Amino acid sequence: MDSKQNAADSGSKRSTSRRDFLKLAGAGFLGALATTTLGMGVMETADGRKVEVWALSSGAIVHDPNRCVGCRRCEAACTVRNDGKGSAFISRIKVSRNLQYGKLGVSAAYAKANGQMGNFLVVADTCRQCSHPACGMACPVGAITADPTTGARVVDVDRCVSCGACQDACPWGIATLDPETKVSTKCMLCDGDPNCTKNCPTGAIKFYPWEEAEALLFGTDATSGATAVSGASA
Amino acid sequence: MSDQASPVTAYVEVIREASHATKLTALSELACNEQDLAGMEVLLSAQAEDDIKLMRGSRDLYYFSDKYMTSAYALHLFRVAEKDPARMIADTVRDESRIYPRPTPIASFLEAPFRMSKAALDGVLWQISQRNDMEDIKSTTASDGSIYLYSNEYLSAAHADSLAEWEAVGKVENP
Amino acid sequence: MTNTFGYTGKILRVDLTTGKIWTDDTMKYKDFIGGEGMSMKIMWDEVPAGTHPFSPENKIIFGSGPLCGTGVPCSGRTNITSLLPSNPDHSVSSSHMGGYFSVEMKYAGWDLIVVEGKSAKPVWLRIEDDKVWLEDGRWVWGKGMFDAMAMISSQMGKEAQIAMIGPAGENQLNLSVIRTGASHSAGGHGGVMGSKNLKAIAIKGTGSVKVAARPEELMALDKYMMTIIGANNQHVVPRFPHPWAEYTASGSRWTAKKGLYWGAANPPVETGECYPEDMQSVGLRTHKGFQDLGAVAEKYTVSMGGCAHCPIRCHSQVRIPQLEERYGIDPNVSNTCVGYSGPNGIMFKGTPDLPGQEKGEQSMISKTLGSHLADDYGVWCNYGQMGRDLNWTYTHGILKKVLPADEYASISWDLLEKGDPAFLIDFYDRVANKKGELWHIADGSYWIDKRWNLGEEYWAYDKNKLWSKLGYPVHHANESQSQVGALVSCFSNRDAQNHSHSNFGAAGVPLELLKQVAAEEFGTPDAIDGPMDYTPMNQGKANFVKWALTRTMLHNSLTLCNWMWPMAFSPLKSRNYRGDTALEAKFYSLVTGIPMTKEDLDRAATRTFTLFRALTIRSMGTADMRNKHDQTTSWVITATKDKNGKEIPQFTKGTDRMTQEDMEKGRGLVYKAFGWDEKTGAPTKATLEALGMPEVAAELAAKGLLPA
Ligand code: SF4
Ligand code: SF4
Ligand code: SF4
Repeated sequence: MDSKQNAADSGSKRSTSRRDFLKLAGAGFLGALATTTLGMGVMETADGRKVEVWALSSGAIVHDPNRCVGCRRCEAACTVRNDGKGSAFISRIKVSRNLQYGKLGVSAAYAKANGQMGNFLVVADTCRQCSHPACGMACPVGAITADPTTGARVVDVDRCVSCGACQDACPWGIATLDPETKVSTKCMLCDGDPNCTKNCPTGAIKFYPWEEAEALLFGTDATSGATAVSGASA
Repeated sequence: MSDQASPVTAYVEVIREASHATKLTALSELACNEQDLAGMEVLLSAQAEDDIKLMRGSRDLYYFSDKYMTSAYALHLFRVAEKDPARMIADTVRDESRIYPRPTPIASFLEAPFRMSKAALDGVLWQISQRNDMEDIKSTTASDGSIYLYSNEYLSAAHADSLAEWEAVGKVENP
Repeated sequence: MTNTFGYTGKILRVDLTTGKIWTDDTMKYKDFIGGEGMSMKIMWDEVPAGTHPFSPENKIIFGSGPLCGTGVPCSGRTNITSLLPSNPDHSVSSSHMGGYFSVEMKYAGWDLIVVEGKSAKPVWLRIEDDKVWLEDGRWVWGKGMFDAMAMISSQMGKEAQIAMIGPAGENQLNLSVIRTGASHSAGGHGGVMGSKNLKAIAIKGTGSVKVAARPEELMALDKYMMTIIGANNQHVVPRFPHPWAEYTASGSRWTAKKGLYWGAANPPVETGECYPEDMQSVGLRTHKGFQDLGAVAEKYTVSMGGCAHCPIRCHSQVRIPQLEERYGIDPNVSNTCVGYSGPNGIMFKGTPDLPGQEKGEQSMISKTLGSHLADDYGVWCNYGQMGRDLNWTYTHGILKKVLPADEYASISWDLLEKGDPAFLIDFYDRVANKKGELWHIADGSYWIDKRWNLGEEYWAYDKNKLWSKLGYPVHHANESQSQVGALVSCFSNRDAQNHSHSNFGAAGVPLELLKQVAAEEFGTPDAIDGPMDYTPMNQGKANFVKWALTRTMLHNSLTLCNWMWPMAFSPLKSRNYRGDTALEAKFYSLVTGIPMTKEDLDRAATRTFTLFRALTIRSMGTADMRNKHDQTTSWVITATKDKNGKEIPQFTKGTDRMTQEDMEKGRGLVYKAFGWDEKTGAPTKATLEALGMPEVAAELAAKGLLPA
């Protein structure tokens, strides 16, 4: 894969993990990154390219397909808290769309593939709070920034111009324009108190501090099924 | 702080930890000296640590913290610890016949926290049928073959028979 | 259209004869709450008495309620109302399915979907938010449901939620289902869709259900509710001793314990202690594989499933490689309760384990195989009655008489006798595909008797469990809360499907506590009896009956799952095991912004239940409900015998039988509690008018169907 080379290219559909980013930027940046606290800035890499640098998120939520019972309480909890309405489409954790036939959708082998019509494995898509977030980098008006407290990549609804660039850019299919308000929705970690995890009846979603979340979401030993399929979501 | 206060406080913590791990704490395990014991009694009677409960058995005294365990569960553990399985079964059956009221499936004694073996259970059932102090314990067999015990102090034979049949067969047929 | 909360405000109307698709306003039916209630009103207004369930003039209504889609616990069920083919008078009845269908309806913007007419060729209805159109259904017609759902999903998108019929529904079997998702079936109305040439309704919704209250208010109520919820069937006491538990109950579906796993998960998931305060293990409390399929199923259990926004998960999801090895059937099976035991009831000679099998393995295979077949063909078991009917007609030589000799000889009865589940493969093919004469076993009991002349002993035999000559069986009747269950079961047009009373009695706490709560709710501790220790009828029991009937109607209208609701008890000792029976009203008020007390909602449900009563009167053409509708079969009111053959008199310990005199008294008390005529059990003009239904009173009066 050449994702590392493409990672700094904001037109790419592939986001980078922090680990990839460090390799790209050179070890000398480690200190600089660690002390970056707010928002984002622009820095130069060892080979002289300019890249955007984002403060790390405090962490991210991670979903465990093995424990998930497909109840979608997480989705309702997310949108009731953050939008004052129940919805699956704009939930910032995505279970519904993968519930029946898995992430890949219907195939001739559906009876053994992921999903409730198959092997019962329900794999949710969650926001990875990417260290180099495609959503934020794609936003033409800078409406997506790192929250000063949680580090979550949050949408400023007043600045959002409903262009859908974040939705197109997010490799995980998380950022979603609300068809009713025309404003972008993406996981903002509920100001540090994730409502989805609290409402999951089997403990299938958990919030992990960044280092752990990163390993779970991007590492070679990733336990989240969401890493099983890379690239854009359907 | 007085000198004897600290061992008692330590015991209380030991008891709580044991309860948290689903265990009773026998007095013998605490290896109290007389002075500590007196301290414990004072503490219990003053209800200073009101989660700590005491059960007096024939073999030992047992403590538990009801923060981590209900009295009902502690009673099961107490009966196990007393190592008189016939009495354990008889008393448990009496409780269930009185409280709910319902007959008790013998199979429940194979489960935690009793965990009897099938062979041991069969032996003990025979003992119960022989013991004078357990004459009230009767058995009834449902049509699927499952055996239930009850105390005729609280349940009549006709009632127990029908309840056992309902528990073993009726409930399954009426899901 | 005005802005609505909870309700989407829109009803989708489809006429398959003309292809016309239009929109109606939900809020004009708001007095009937939603789901079942609104559907009853539409049936009253639009489907005249005497309409055949399979005629184009019949309508079928898919209903959700205002709470559906908002994340309220256990709010994912779909109510389906139409004329019921298995009922002798084709009276209106409802069937219900779980899953995710109604939530998708709401998110697409629809509270109800009303379908009428008949398409000239097979079609399926495609709904993508407010875009609705009919698709050619010829390529999915005749297909089993699993494949047909995949085919429609591949055309429409993987997130589509689908309600569908199988070959049984297409062939207009009386006993056929409408199914959604992997395992959620509504029994009874499959043939109605079939008669309309409608294979499926498939929906994608990108919208929402708006909540009137501030998010924090609903979140707080939800959190509170989660301290009251128990396990499946609102059993609040665990089956096995736990350090935190004061009580146990052997029949409890709170089956979790240390060392009990979803054994086929990778890695296995332990159900564990499940402390009642721990919201993150509510979904582990009910190990339904263990409950429904036996201990042997533990290692085959992948996980649990269930409905949208429900933390309970009452469907087991199992992988049984034997199904593939032996029968070439996909090994992944999901179902619950009678979804397993109903099809397994066809194997009425038992399914003894073969040498080398584990204890209970053959029965697990039979249940999962049967469930998969019934779900693919879409055959309804009439709450387990089909197996008992097959048993009776086979054992009494009736099948030998009524089936042509060559057909009888071609059936592998030896497989049935041996207990080989392979019998089910042949059986369901014959029944669903209407082969020979045998398929009439799916006519339903009333019609089977008419066709094959089963005689009085068929109805009188207690093990046949027929509750009413209208052809439906026991579903939480006299064995469940004495006269309460018995009377509740007398008011429906199919198996009563009422869990308000049965869950109350089976909560798991000691009788004394049950009686305390009964006193608080129904005015006297005597409203409740201990099992097999019944007392004669009293006013408290009548109050309990009315509560159970109206609460269930309320749940099917809101839509909440009546297999969980009402929340009469809680698992918390700190609450003294008290639940909260005002929770429906609290949720309703927050979600819709329409303030309603518990009493308000009870009154609305009384209105709806009274309308249901009027519908039955209209279809039967008589106001004499007491004698023509509400009677039981004879075994119910006959004394039973003890082990030694001695008769056990009613209302003594050891029997759950009723007497006719006492039941008649009970009927009168319940009629009175509803404000109906005590003699006939028909709603009076005054009551109908007081409930705001003068048009119903007028029509009944015109037809001579009002009590004197
Ligand atoms: S953390 Fe909050 S915003 Fe993110 S998915 Fe969960 S509920 Fe939604
Ligand atoms: S919305 Fe997508 S791109 Fe943006 S942080 Fe989340 S996962 Fe990364
Ligand atoms: S709440 Fe938990 S179990 Fe339910 S769908 Fe979400 S992740 Fe899965």
